[in-house]
Amino acid sequence: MEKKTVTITNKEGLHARPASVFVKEAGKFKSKITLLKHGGKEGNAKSILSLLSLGIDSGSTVDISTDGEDEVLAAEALFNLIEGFNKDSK
Amino acid sequence: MKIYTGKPASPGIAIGPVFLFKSQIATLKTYTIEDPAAEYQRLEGALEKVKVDLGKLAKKLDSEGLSAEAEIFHAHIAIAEDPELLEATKALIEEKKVNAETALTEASSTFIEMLKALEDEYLAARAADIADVVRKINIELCGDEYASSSLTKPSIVVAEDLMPSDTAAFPREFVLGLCIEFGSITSHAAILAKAMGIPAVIQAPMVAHKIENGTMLIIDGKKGEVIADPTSEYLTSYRAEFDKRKQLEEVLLTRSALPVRTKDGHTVQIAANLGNATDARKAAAMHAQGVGLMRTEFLFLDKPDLPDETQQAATYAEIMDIMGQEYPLVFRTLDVGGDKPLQAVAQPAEMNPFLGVRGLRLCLLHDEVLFKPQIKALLKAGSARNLFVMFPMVTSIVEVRAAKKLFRQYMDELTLEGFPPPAHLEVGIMIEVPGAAVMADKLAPEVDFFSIGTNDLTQYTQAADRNQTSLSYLSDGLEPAVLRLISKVAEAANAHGKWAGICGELGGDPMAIPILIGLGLHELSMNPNAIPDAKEIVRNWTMEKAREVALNALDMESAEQVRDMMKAYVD
Repeated sequence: MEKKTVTITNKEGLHARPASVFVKEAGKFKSKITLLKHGGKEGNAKSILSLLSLGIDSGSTVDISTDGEDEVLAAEALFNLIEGFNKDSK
Repeated sequence: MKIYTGKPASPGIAIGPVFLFKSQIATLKTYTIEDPAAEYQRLEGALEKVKVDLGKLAKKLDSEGLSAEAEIFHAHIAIAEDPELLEATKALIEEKKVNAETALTEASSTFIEMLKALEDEYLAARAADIADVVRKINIELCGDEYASSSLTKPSIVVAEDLMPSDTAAFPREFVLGLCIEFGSITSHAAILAKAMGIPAVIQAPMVAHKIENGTMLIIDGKKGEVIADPTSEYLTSYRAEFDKRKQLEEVLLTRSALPVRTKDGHTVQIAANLGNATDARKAAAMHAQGVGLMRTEFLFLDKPDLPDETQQAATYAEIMDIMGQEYPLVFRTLDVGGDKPLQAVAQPAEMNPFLGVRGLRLCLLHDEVLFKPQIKALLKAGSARNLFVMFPMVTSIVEVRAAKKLFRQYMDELTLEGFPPPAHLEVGIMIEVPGAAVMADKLAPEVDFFSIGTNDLTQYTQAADRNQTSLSYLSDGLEPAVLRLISKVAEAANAHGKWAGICGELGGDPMAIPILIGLGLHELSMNPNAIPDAKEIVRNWTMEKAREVALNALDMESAEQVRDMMKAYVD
């Protein structure tokens, strides 16, 4: 079980294109991957519907939890992806 | 007369009779089932069918040049394969022993409610997406025929709400405008209307309930006004406004037929990039000065068998007939690789398909089955006519020589078979690999022209996958690193009396056009829709001024700086 915490600062939040890119990336890993929005709910990172319904706006902080054989890689990749979105919108 | 005020969603004026549209809802029946596994299988069958349909819709938009809009239906496919939605549906089928339609509707409503509860305009629009996908799946499950519409004459479509697949499926020639009671600016119907150039008004209260089928209607997509049953004064004044705008568009289009010269008299060729024979008709209508890139992949992809020489020759000849002989029509030989493998040619999986066996590399590796039939078909179609052929993904002079040697050999074979050679033949290469750009001065004597593929050239120069969203800050073709390579290529071509053109996205970018002609490129090839505007831009510049901004751009630090400079010239 791996956990990484990251704050989303890009303008769009985890919506629209960033959300679908995120889900696609998560789908590449075998681990079970969940996102917990601080002060909110938890959802399946491989499901676009689940992710959207968390309502992750700009400024939200989330825990990325991964559990499975490629958990370290998965956590790292998804963390970097969000960092990339953040940098992108600057 | 009655005036309704909504929100402007897509500019323009439409005048015409109302077509009141109601989205088809699947006739939902709820019943209990015996065998959950079989029921789930039935659902999966329907899902597959719907995914194929959505893929086709995306392709239709792609072929109309609306690739950003095609994304919508890719997102719909993602919803149709969403693991949470399917899990929830499966659980309901198993636990409650209900039919798939009922289970799916119930499972999806949870998500729809959740998204709506977040009170965000964007998410509410996504809730509409889920509803649209579920509706499609249910229609499939019920075995209902999916009636896209019964729109049979030019009308203004009025609806309570429009599902994206409704909007895309309307016969385009009959949709004068859209008027929607609900909807939002970010809803796909609005986005599609804009992309298709259809005037649209959204959030016009009660329109779908108060206005009757066939009523005369005016919609003003710029002001957001909807006028039902207009008085003759209104009708006259809006007709005049409508005619004025139409004329302006026509002026631009007619001017598109005139020669394209800079203010100081330098000619630049504005050509089209095409993907199939239908595109060729569009390009001809837009007065494209030839075709800088005729892709040939459409003949090969998604087909179990390779097209034979005769089939290919017929298609190439058809395109030549549509475009005529006045301007160059450049055919690019097959450009595929490991990311889009051909069904008919086995290709081992590659770690890095974009650095792997693709383009000319693949054609040379399988010259008998790929290169030979295609070149011979091109030579047959171009027999005693003008023929322009270019090879994609060229890196080294060795490849160019090998390809040219085979080319000559095929031409000799055809002469023996009784096909005279082309009246005028030019063989060129695409410059997409930085190494080839750097070596352009050595490659120039071997070829008749260069065509710079800026999308790949940018991706390879910047070492950044162009589909990687998080790297989009590296992927602007106006990066000085890319411009310096383009400049080298243009210089090498000019020094050897050859011509060089652009056939990537950059060619149609209003900010890039002055820089590109200033760098000495002879031809810009682009999406046909961009042609009238591009021609106007060329006419408004002098070569002297274009050279000046080009030199400035080469000396800048970043694409951002280049764009800042060009902002002053683009309104």
